[in-house]
Amino acid sequence: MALFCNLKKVIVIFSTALILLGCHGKSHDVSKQTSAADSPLKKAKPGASVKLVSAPIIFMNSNQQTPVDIEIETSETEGDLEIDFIPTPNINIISSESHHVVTISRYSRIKFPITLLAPSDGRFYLKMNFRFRNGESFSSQTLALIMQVGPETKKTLQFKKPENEKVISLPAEEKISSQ
Amino acid sequence: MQKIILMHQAYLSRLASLSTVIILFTFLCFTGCGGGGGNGPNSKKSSSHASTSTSVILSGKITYDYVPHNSDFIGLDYTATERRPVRGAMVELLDSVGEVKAFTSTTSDGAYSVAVEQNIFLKVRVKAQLLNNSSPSWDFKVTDNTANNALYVLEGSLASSGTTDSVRDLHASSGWDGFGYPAPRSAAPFAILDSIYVGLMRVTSAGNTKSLRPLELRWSTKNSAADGDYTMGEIGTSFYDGSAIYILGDANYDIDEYDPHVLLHEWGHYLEDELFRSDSIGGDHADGKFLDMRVAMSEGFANAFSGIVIDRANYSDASGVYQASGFTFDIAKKSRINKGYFSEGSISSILYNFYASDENKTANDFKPLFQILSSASYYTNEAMISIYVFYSELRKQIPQYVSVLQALMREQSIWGEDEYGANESNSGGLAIQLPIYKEILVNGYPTRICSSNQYGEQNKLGNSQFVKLNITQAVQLSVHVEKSVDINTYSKPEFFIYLRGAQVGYAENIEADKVSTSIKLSKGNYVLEIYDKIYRDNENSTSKNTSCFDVYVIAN
Repeated sequence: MALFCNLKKVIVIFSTALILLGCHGKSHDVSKQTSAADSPLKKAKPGASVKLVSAPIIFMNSNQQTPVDIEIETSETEGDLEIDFIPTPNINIISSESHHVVTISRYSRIKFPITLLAPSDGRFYLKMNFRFRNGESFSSQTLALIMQVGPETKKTLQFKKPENEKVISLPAEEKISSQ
Repeated sequence: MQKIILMHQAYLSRLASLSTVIILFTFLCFTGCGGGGGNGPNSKKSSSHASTSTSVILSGKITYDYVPHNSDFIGLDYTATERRPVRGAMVELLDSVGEVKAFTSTTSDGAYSVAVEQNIFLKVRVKAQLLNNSSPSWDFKVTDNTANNALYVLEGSLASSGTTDSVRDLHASSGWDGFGYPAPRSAAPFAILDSIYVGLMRVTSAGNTKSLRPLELRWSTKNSAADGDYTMGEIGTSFYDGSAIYILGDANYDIDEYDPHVLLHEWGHYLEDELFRSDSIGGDHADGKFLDMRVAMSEGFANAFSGIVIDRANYSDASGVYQASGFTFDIAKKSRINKGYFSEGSISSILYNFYASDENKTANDFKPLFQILSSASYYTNEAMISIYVFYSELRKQIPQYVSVLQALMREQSIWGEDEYGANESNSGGLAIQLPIYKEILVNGYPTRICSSNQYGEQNKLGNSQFVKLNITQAVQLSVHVEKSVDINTYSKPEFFIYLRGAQVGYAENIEADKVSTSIKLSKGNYVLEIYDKIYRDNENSTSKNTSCFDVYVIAN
């Protein structure tokens, strides 16, 4: 009886070991030294040296004119910076021009006071297209402000499909013929 | 006797139970433990291509719309749209209930061919996925971050396989009608995939034998410059963050699916993680800026790599209304302002021109670059990764090419002679920069270093200073950094300690003007990175200042 119990234990341990060994996934090569920056870093594409320093999200109420100070920072020290403000549908720019040209002479922050109006609740965007020219050098960058008008709606679980159906089907132009 | 029989029966019963347990465990072992590869069909062998008496051959070509840039490299030229093959992508044949009946992958011509049952209804599905399960393995997918990272697939319609061989060609259209995208942008995921395919082939033919970590390239028509919730497409810009690549798809503002340089720039950063080494701290960057040398090397390499893979030095990024504008720059340009080890433009120029040079070497040959970057001595180098390390390694590994590289470096005002940039004379206009690596001795005199935000914050030249620390035997140390007595500005010093690029120590600032830590270090050559946290927080770049500190290393 005791022999049976011991044999059972051995088999359970042996089988568990087999399972663990069999289930060990393909390991990646780990010969590479880990780099100093182990936290996730964003490595972005090249573009004009312009960034948004004011809040990226503006909360506002519908049908209420909302003054906003959009502040950007550029590390360009010389040249002309052209800016276009392009609201998505459902956002109107009430005051201020939508096109600006600023001559840069030093590292600076630039403020654009602007008044916005949204007729209905929702999440919209004010896109900003920047083009910088300094002699022969030319670069561009697109930034955007998020306008949250009214309360944020709770995200429903979309596309909660079973694992084996997680695809986005795109239509094809298909030609079928016999050989 | 009866007792013996009963015991015997009990014995047999227990034996049967044991056998059941063994069988069950063994069964679990072999069925619960499928190998890597995710999708079931892809981990098995490809289906047969031979026709039998009950099967037919179904074959065809898969293509997509590729939209090139204008001849001046600014903006897209939809009138020049061309059909290109979808290469190396997974192809499945699905029946009417969605079961995969056959699978394969497209060739370098976009062709596929499989044997399927006669007279069953099947549809062709092409996955935006490059998958290879044999070594060196890879798995690249184009997915939609606004739909739970679902995989993009191109699908044909259900049709009978018939009784004779047949052809089904599928084409992914751009969806552009001359004014906008009224139709689905079926081509976009495959345009993205093809840029990666080209990069993969260049890296493989250069001699790569290491398997690559699976990677998703996340694209959506909703991906815009708004920086917020990724699941809503608010990705800010196209970027790589160590886990995935996110790609803009906001029509008439900024799309990147037809910008191979953008895609390969980001994929180049992924390769730095997978096959090479980068010590970059990330952040904003642009040509002509004075960057931390680690950032300059990483961004310069990524730009050069993008041009090398498609053999086109004119980097192009289309944007704006009708995607008709955007910008371009010449990766190979030698004449530039602000030359130096801190300029991503200088680095990309050096690496690209070295690649293209036929002086004592084969022109347009990626192998030498790949050899250096993927070498063990490169990624275990004791110095921080910069152009100096590349130069030092090339000098050791392929000395016959060093004159070519050296001439290119000198043209970019880079004069350092070893991996630490010894004898560099280009300070970038910031005297505190030289020498590139200061030195400090255990129990020696303090070393003075200065941190500055002259050129901006977070990742710019002057924010961080590097100090070499040689430890001859294991020792418990106190490392202390304190504001120099002649400096009046408020400061928040911090530092990292690295060994061959790996962080082994960090001292967080909790008290104004000083920071220290106690640490045991074994024998080796370390690098201290010291900075004023005020210049790394990216909060007030318009006020320019310099903070100076005295650094002490004392054995306990």
